[in-house]
Order: sequence, then C-alpha cells, then structure tokens
Amino acid sequence: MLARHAEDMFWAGRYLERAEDTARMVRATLLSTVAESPTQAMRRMGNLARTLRLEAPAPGEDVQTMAEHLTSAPPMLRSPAGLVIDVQAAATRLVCSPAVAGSVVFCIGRARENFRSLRDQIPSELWEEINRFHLQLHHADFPDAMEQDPFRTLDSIRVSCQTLNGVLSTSMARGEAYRFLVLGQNLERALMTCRLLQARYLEMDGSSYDEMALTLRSVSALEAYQRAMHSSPLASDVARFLLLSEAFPRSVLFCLQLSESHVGSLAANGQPAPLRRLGQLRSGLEFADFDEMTANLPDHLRALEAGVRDAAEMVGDHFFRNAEVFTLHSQAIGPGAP
Amino acid sequence: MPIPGFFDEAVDERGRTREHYRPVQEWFDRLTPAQVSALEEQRNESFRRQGITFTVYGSEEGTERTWPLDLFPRIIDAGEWAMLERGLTQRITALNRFLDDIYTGEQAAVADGIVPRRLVTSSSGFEREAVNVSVPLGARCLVAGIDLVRDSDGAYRVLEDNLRNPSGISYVIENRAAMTKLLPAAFADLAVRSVDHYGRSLLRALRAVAPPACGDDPTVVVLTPGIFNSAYFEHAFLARSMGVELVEGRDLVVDDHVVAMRTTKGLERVDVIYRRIDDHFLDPVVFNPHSTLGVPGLMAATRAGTVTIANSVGNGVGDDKAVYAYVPELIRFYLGEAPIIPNADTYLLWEPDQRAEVLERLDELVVKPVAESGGYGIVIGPKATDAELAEVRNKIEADPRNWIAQEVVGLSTLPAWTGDCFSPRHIDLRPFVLCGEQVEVIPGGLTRVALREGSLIVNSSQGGGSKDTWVLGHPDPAAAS
Repeated sequence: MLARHAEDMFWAGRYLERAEDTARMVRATLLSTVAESPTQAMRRMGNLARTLRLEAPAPGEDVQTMAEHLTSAPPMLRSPAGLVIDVQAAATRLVCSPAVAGSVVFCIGRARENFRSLRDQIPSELWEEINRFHLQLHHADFPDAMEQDPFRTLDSIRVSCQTLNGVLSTSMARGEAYRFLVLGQNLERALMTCRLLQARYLEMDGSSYDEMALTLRSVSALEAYQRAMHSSPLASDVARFLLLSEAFPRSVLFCLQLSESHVGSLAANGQPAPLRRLGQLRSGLEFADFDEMTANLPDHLRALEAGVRDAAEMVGDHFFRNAEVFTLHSQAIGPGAP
Repeated sequence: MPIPGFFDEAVDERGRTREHYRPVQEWFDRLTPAQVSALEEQRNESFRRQGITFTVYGSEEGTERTWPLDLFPRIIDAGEWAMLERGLTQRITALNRFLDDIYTGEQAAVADGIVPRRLVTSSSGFEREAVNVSVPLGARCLVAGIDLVRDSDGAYRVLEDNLRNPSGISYVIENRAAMTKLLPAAFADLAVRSVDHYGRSLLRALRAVAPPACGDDPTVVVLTPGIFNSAYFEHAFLARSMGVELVEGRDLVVDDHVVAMRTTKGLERVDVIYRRIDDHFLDPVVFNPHSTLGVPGLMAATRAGTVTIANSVGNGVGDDKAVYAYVPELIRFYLGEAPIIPNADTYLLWEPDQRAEVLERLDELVVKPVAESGGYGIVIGPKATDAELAEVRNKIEADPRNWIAQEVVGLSTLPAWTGDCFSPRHIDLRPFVLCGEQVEVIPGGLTRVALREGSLIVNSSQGGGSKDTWVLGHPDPAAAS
C-alpha cells in the first residue's frame, strides 16, 4: 500500500486508542473523586492531566504538597483568569475541548481527518461510524451533557469507540491497512499503560484498595485483575499485572507481542529495525526479574516508555519514509522507455 | 402545473401526467407534506452520516454542505434513451477522432477547412505538450460528461461537452443508493436500469488503454489533488469502487521515464493514471513550475509511452466552446452521419457579422467564456443588470475569441420539493460516457435542478440540486405492466 496511506492508518489507530484511553481514565478518576474534598479531587485531575501528557512534566516536579500542586496545575486546568477550575469543568475540558491536544474531541477529529484521506482504503461502514461519532461529539449540547451527566456521557463515548473497533474487526480485510491501524493502536496502548503506572505507582504505595482500584479501572482492568489475582492487592502486584499479563489486552507485554507480530507480517523480509526493537522490548519483559524491577520501578517504566516511543519512530522510518528502500527499488524498476 | 413556454417532463400540454411518469406521480400524490419532510430529514441525516458533501469555494458559512438530492426522480423511457445513447456515442466517437487527428494525425479537419486552424491553435485547451503523444485505442477522452437540455419543444440539445475532468458520477450512484433506501416502494416494477457497475466499467476502460508493453495485469491509480479539493469525495469513491490506490502527486516518482508509487515495500510501477488534476498542474517540468500537486517528469514518461494518462492532456481543445459550435460538422466529417442530438443555436463572436448581431441583442442571449466550466463567467442577458451587460460587452470587444453567445434555451421543468409542495423547476442532464474498447453510456446520468424559482442555473457550486435519473428498461412501459 501507499506509504502515505500506511502512515495515515497508523496514526488513525493511535488517535482512536488515545480517545478511548482518555475517556476511560477520566471516568475512573471522576469516580474516585466523588467522595473526596475539592482540593484532593483537583490534585487527582492534575495527576491525570500529566498522565495524559497534556503538559510536559517540569524537571524535578513534585506534587506532594497541596500548595505546590496548585501553583503547578497544568495550564489546561486553569481558567483564562489563571484560577484553577473545578473538577467537573476540568474533566469536561479533557473530553470536550478541541483546543486540548489529547482530548476525546481532538483525537476523534484527527482520526476522522486521517480516515478522510483513506476513504478509498477503509470500508464505508467504518467511515460512517467515525463520522457519526464525530457529529455526536460536535453536537451543540455535548459539553453540557458531559458536565451534567459525565458518567453516562463517558459510557456513550466508550460504546462508540467499541463500536468502531467492532466495525474494524468485522468488516476490514486483514491486509496491510488493517495491520498498520492495529499496530498504531497497540503501541499507543502500551505507551498509555506505561504512563499510567508511572503516574500512579507512588500513589498506590499506601496499599489502599481505592488507589489500586483507580489504577486498574483507568485501563478497565479491575475485573480481569480480580479474576487473575485472589490475594489482596499490592502496588507491585498491580504493576506486575499491567506490565506482564499475557492474557489481558491492555498489559504492556500483550501490546508488544501483538505489535511485534504485526510488524513481522508487514516486513517484506528480514528483520527490520522496528521488529528487532520490539523483540528486544518484549523479551526484556518476558525474561525480567520482577523483584529486581520493583526495586526501581520508576526508572524501568521510564526506560520502557522511551523504548516503545523509539520502536514507533522506527516503524515510521522503515515503512513510511524509508529512503534506502526507495533508491534500491528504483534501480530495480528501470529501464524506462520500451 | 407546468410553466407556460417550457417543456414539462412529467406533464403534457393538456395537463395530463405523461405515461412513463404515471406510477411515480401516483406514488408521490399519496404522500402528505409531513411525510415528504420526514423523508427529507432522513435523507439529510443519511448523507451527513456518510459524509456525502461538496465544497463551495468562497462561501462564508462552513464550506462543506450535504449533497442536495430532490426526491422526485427524473424518468427517461427506453425508446428515448436508445436515441440519446446513439447520439452520445456518435458525438464522443467524433470528438475522440478529432482530438486524435489534431494531436497525432494529419489534422484533416483543419486541412479540409471544417474547423479554422487559428481556432485550434488559439484555444487555451490546445497543448503543444500533447502533440505526437499517442494514446492506445485513440481513447483520448476516456470519460466524458455531455451536458444536455430540452428546449421548449422537448427536443434534446447538447449544451456543453466536458472532455477534461467531468465530475458528478459518484453522485449519480449515491443518489440511486439513497433513493433505493428512502423510497423502495416508488421503484415498484418499473425495471429502472442499474448504475452500480460504473466502477467496474471504468476500470475495464482504463485497463484497456494501458501501454501494450506492461502485460495483462496493469496497475491503475486515481490521481487526486488531495482532500481539500471540492471533488475529493468523488475521487475516493472512484478509487474505492475500482479497488485501486488513490494517490497524490507526492506519492509518485518518475525514474528513467517510468512512473512508480511509494509504497510500504518500496517503489511499485504504475501503468495507467486516471487523473483528476487539471493539465496545468500535472507536471511542474513542462507546465506550472509552482505546482506541488503534480509529478516532475510525468509528461516525459507519457511521451515515452510507459504510462497512460486518462483523460489525455490537451482535451480542452475539444470542449472549447468555440470548437463546440463545429461539432455537428465534425460528426459529418469523421463519421459521414447526420448528428442525432443537435447543438443549441450558437453565435461565434470572432466572426464580425455575428458579433455585431450579438452585441445588438446582448440582453436576449446567453454569453459564455469559451474555456470555463462549472457555470463560472456565464452572463444570462434577460436576467443581467445593465452594468453586467456593459462589462461583458467590454470583455467581448477586447477579446472576441474568448466568448460565444447562445439563444436562451428554455430548460425543461420537473416537479421539485420546495418546502411545502412540489413545484416545477428547471433541469438539465449530464450523461457519462466511457470510451475504452467500446463506447458505453451509463444509463441516465446526473440530473441537476435549479432549486430557486425561475432560475436556469443548475450548477451545484451555485445553489443547484440534483435528482436521481431513472432509465426504464422496457422498450414500451405499457407492455411491461
């Protein structure tokens, strides 16, 4: 397929995944703030905004004390006057603001733009569904609905995302286009789980059930976790599950295995750089000494996130802008005039 | 009721519904205005969801609008269609012979004085870059859209030939798909002929013009300017219905006179390009050097015969409105046949006598620039202000070669929904003609309708709508029922 189309497909996958992740995390965070004080709740929203990388974390940033937190609240949580806005308004902006890169509205808009330039590649049913979703998000009443009834609105977003995934998996041929999209989704998902653990690991230290539950709910893993692990949860168990589960589709290992298999099918022959990188990351997790890992989890998580980013870059270099391949083949396609 | 002085498609001069419209008219008569409005709402919702829109350049309010489809279909009975099919086949065959003669032949029509030489060489559509570039099967115009109208006597006339990049076929097919879902019962047992196969037919024609050396499985692509083009929806539609890649200029490279596309697995050779980019943007080496839409070296590859571009470069000389006036003569010259569908009466403004007459009667005639399409630049005398008439008079006197004038053709009418009832509105018809190994006319075509009362401008870029066009399958509708 065209390199440009492949790249659009890859990014459509990343944006779709991002939209769904944002909705899940906002929902879990709002749920956990219901019984909390406004300042505590705001702190959580700040943390969430950082998980979603809606603002680059300042070096040495520390949000231990409330005073510090309030001065370091990400700009998107401030009203134009510079005041920190309330939790509900912050959640609404994370979901509805087209100006916030990473909001659901922003991501679905981008995914739709990508699909628009792929109209000849994707099934009409998929186009209609993303278009319907986009129109739903742009309905004039949508931000109000989010503010009035956030849980119902977030559930409807999740259902729309799942419908899209259903259309994808039931109507799209398993060709290159499909593989690039799923690859984009899984790399994005792996990155998001890494970031969630980085932001949440220290919070879970007190081993309170609520903190564990928030982490797991953020990636819809609570029920799967409870089924798999029967002991009362420890922060390290939660981290182990979200990193290393071979069965849960949002664990980092699961996403990397799937990504590796798709890159393997996409590569014409040999072992291109992204395939090797993904293989290294995957085996690094498979054969990890987890006790050694937990001793310094934040560093491991940072390195893992950087590795996944790196692999995504390599996918781009190899499939979307590979100058080497082009010159090579261009010699092979001559001679010109018959 | 029909408008006096115009031919109404559905109702005869005594006010009776014409035979072939009777079942549909009866079906619509049973609908209440509320039911029609509900159907319209359903239609809009469906088009919005499918993103079936078009772009209006230079309009303020959001430039993407949903496609305006009027629910009352246009119906052409089998006998009438058979005549149109013959007439269109004849016309496009002669035009292709003319184009091939001009660019790769001995220019017989010019040599024999059928068309004045200066008219050809002064045409802005005449491309020296296309001279001596041959096209397999001589199919220089592979897809044509011929605009037809019916005058006040009900006679069909050709108003315009579109031999470059005629658009609208995707709307023909989407209109039918929408009508089938919205009004399945209205089709009853009318045996309306299908239009769904267009993608297959187009692909067959494109493969037929592939360079002979490329083997029996040529690679076909559609070349689009990109998602900001007003016809992008159609470009994607065509690529999808043919199952081929939709490429932009930046996806293609020319290496040693071979065109290839950049794929995830390296470069892949391209044999036929169905391009939807105008000539002047195709190749910055020989045309507009600032074009970023095109592919450097594409024309040289075409000349080397390693790739076929469809429609061919330089077809503008064939749909130049000044050359249009000579098409009936070209049909006689190349085919030795009498033209089946006549032209509208046309005045050539570079002929001093005709110019003088036209300038006298400017307020009664339609004046058109010769090289424009999409309805741009047209001045309709009876509707123009004095200032507009004075302006076009100056332009004609400054550059008479650039203009023609025509008698106002009284476009036929057909009921269209106007918010609370159906009222007669003016329509035209753009059938689509494919020329590969043989000529194929897609049944029907795009019926455009001027939705404003009394208006004769049907272009969607200027507030026109469209209608589904039904060609009936049985030669005699009475015998079919």
